[in-house]
Amino acid sequence: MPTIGVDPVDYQELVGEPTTAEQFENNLDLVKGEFKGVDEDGLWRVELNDTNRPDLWSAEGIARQIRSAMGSRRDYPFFSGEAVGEIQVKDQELLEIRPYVAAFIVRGLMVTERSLRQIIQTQEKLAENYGRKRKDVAIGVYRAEKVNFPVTYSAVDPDKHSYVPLGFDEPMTLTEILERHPKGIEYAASLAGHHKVPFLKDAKGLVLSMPPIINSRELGEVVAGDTDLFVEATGTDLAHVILALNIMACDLADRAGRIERIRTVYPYETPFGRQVDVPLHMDQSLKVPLAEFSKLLGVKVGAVELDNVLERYGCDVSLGKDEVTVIPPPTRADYLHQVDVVEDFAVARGYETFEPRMPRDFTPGRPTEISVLEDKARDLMIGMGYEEIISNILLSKDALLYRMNRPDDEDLVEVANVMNENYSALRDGVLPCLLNTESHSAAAAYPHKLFEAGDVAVFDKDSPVGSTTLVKLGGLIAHREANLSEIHTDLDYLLHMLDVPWKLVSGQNPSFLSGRCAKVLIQDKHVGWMGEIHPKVLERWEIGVPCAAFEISLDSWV
Amino acid sequence: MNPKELADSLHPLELRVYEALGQETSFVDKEFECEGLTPAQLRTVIEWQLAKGCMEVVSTDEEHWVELTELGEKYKNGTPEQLLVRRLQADGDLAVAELMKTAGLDQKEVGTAVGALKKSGVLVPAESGAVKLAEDANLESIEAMDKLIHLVSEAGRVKLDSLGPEDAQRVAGASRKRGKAKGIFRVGSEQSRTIRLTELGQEVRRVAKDAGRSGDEINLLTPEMLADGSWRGKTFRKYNTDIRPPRRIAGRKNPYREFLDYVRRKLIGLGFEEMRGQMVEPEFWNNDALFMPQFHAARDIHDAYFVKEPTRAESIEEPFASRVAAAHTDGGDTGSRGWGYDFDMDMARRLVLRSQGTVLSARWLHKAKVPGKYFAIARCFRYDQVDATHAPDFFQCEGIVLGEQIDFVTLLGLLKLFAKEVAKAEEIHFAPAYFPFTEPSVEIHMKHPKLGWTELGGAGIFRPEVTGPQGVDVPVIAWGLGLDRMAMMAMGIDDIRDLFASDLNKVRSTRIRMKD
Repeated sequence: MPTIGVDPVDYQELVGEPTTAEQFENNLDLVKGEFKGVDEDGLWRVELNDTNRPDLWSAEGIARQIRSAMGSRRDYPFFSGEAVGEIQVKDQELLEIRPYVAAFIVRGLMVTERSLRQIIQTQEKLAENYGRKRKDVAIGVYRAEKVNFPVTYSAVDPDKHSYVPLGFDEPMTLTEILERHPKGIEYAASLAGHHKVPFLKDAKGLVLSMPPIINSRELGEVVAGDTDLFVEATGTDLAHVILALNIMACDLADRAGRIERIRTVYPYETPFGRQVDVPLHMDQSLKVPLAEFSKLLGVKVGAVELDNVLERYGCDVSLGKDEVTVIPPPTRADYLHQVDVVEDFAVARGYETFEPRMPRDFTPGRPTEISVLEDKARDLMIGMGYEEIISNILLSKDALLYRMNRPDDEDLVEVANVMNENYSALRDGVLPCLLNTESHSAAAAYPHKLFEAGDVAVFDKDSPVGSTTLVKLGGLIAHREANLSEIHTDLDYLLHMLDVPWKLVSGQNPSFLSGRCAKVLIQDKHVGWMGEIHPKVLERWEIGVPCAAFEISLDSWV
Repeated sequence: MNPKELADSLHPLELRVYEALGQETSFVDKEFECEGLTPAQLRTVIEWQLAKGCMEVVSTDEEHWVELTELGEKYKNGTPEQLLVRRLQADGDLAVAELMKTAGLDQKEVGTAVGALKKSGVLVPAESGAVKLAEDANLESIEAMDKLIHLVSEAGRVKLDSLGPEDAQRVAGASRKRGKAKGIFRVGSEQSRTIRLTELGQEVRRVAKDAGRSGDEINLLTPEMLADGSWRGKTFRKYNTDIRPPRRIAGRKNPYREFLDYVRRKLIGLGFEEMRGQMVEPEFWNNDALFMPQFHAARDIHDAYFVKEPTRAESIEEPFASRVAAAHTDGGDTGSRGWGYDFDMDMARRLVLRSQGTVLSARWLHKAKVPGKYFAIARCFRYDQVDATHAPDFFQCEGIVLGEQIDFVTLLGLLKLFAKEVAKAEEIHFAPAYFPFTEPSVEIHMKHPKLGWTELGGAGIFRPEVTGPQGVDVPVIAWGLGLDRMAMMAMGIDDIRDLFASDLNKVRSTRIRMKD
């Protein structure tokens, strides 16, 4: 979810009305925005929640949506008409590397410091978020008067070409740029795996850029005061490339720029043909039965209201007999299903205009069987004076194996992308959690009687996902005279009250003292352990009092 | 407490003090004698009575007393001056060197005493460097000091103001003071308080007396008293319940779980059936089945914990696998355009620690009843740096509602119900929201008395691309409630890590208030 800074002065020009921060915030429901306050530069911070609406990730986009709701929708006439220049795609190999390029020209802009910051922000948000770190889409902006058509887009050997990139004074080969230029280092991954790289040059052989890395200094340095810009986008998905440029074009048109189309000629087929003129209004219209609105929303929706509300949301509507065809503005490509149109209507009408209705279906509520057992066991533990603990499930391998005196090659459910060693594996029992609490609680008055019940994940190579989630219950006593007899008494009471046939058989577990521990069998199935904690384990947890404990799996007999 | 209650709860020791006072209303604590009470017990009774307002301090007096120091004890056989005078009286003129050998005195004492005697004119020079007693020597002062020493010695301790002014001056001149190494007397002081029964105290005493209360009421009822009936006709001492007992340690639910239990109980009460599942899930159920496109930013390696071994599920259950793949690619038969990319089944098999509770809803859809309501309070995992607002794992409370009559206004009604029943919020606001798996989507905000507007949860109606592949053809509400903020408010903590406190003292001292 992108967060942008909106310049209040700039915004008020765009929306055409004086606007306070509070008025601005009140309108943000229309753009699924969340006001995050004013930053140190005086910009209004807004988080835009709809990841499918890149058209809203700019001051222009927000202003456009709100202006439209206030009844001053603007039309954008530049989606048809002759192209004024051409980009020629030269090499078939680009199909593998970065197949698509498109562009437009804007003239008559007044680029100020304020607007330039906003334009750059939009370009960055589109490339970073919508273009996924420039991989799918990247945008370059150049001074139009220096660009000679036709521009060529080719795949070149990075060692054989060079230019002066933005931010540097000397020519560098494309390889050097990839290795040494900060943007090269940051985005080289998007070109990895290819011997050649994309390259944009104009008719006189002047370099525009190596997309999606960095512009040339000569053509690609835009400053306040510029009026005519050449805006280009490259990427791996042509619809994305076109949408990004449509958004940029409308944004710049909202800043009083005149947009001129540019044609791209491909040597290969694209989803939009071999010859694509941009800006291009892609057909995203959807036909929706009128009844669908009423059914999904639960209120009666008439054709006239529908028409009015959606028009005010920036859509074009044509009414049929029992259905409507809705054409979203050219800056949007988020209509996947009829439900998307229905939501547009609801958002545009305002959620506050819908009267909530309580669900009427009767359904019996109930906990799962295992929760019932877990709760019963918890109640019994509490009755015996145990204090309940709740712990994190991600622990360190060290806590689960070494400190428990278990062999270090025992299988656990481990995390592949570890961020912090302390949270690198799922617990396969609750005993380490109880000992962890005990190790932090020497200052709490004794005796300690602790228990925890909850999910654990046990490595299980026979499971389709390699592990099984179980519900385990563990109890631990810690005081000067804690011993097996005491914990045995408690476990005996617990299992007696849970009314299951159980018994103890001798067994060895490295976490417990040999000869002072036993396997717990329920219905003749081994479900856990009971015994005195091995002093080695206590030492490793830095616990200074004797402990006795039990741990059993609850789901094994549900 | 009123006089009656105070009288009823008098401790036997207090009753004894009242008795010893008789009709008196005031006494000096240092002088007061009460049979069977040690001075310490008397002090305790006085403190209790002062605290209850039954007694008050009228005045505090400071009394000075005099005792002999160790040196004073030694001088009981005579001060150095006196010993020298006696020697000279017995032996006549003596050289100073000879005087030095006087029994019981060291040279320094002799030197000082000789100097003093000369100064007061008792000692005068004799022939050839010797000294002798003056003819008219006045020995009164020396004898008076001797008498004073014996007086103090016999009494052990003497009140300073019982001495005459001359003796008092002598004491002052010869008492041990700071900086003065030696002295004959030690002067000390002691405070004594004059205590008086207040009007309340007198009333309490009267009420207690009228009620026949004395110090010999029954303190503890014993089985023997019950057996022989000896309790009959006796009164039982009443307890003072104003005194706070020491806090006990008891078996108890963990406060955070108590909160989660409360939410669970609420949801069951609202007709929801519980779902529980596994913590390790293939991305298919965690994401794909929820129509999260595989190129979505939230599916980045940096957003979930991936499992080290095995890295992939063996397979994905059919027919869900192919139906979901189709929904992503071109919509399949869900009426959607789809995301328009080639679905990667290998990516779908990647195993993650479930990152959202909605995975349970996804898993439940195909077996859910219609109408049906389901919920889960599930432990989830996100790849986040752990800090005051991010725990390594946390609970998500999520669920679904299926029904022929489900629609957007029903969704709003359900959320309103949650706000009222679970969060006790009266003022709410619905805001449009975005979730990849619901359309329309909504966030519910509630006005919290302390935090102001705060997000309670998110919800929406599952997209047909989610329900279709699971064979569900009725609308399904998917909802989620943010419990952490609520839990932290209820527990009075502001660090999310304290929800899972590992310090028993912290757990013991945390209380929970469901109404906040």
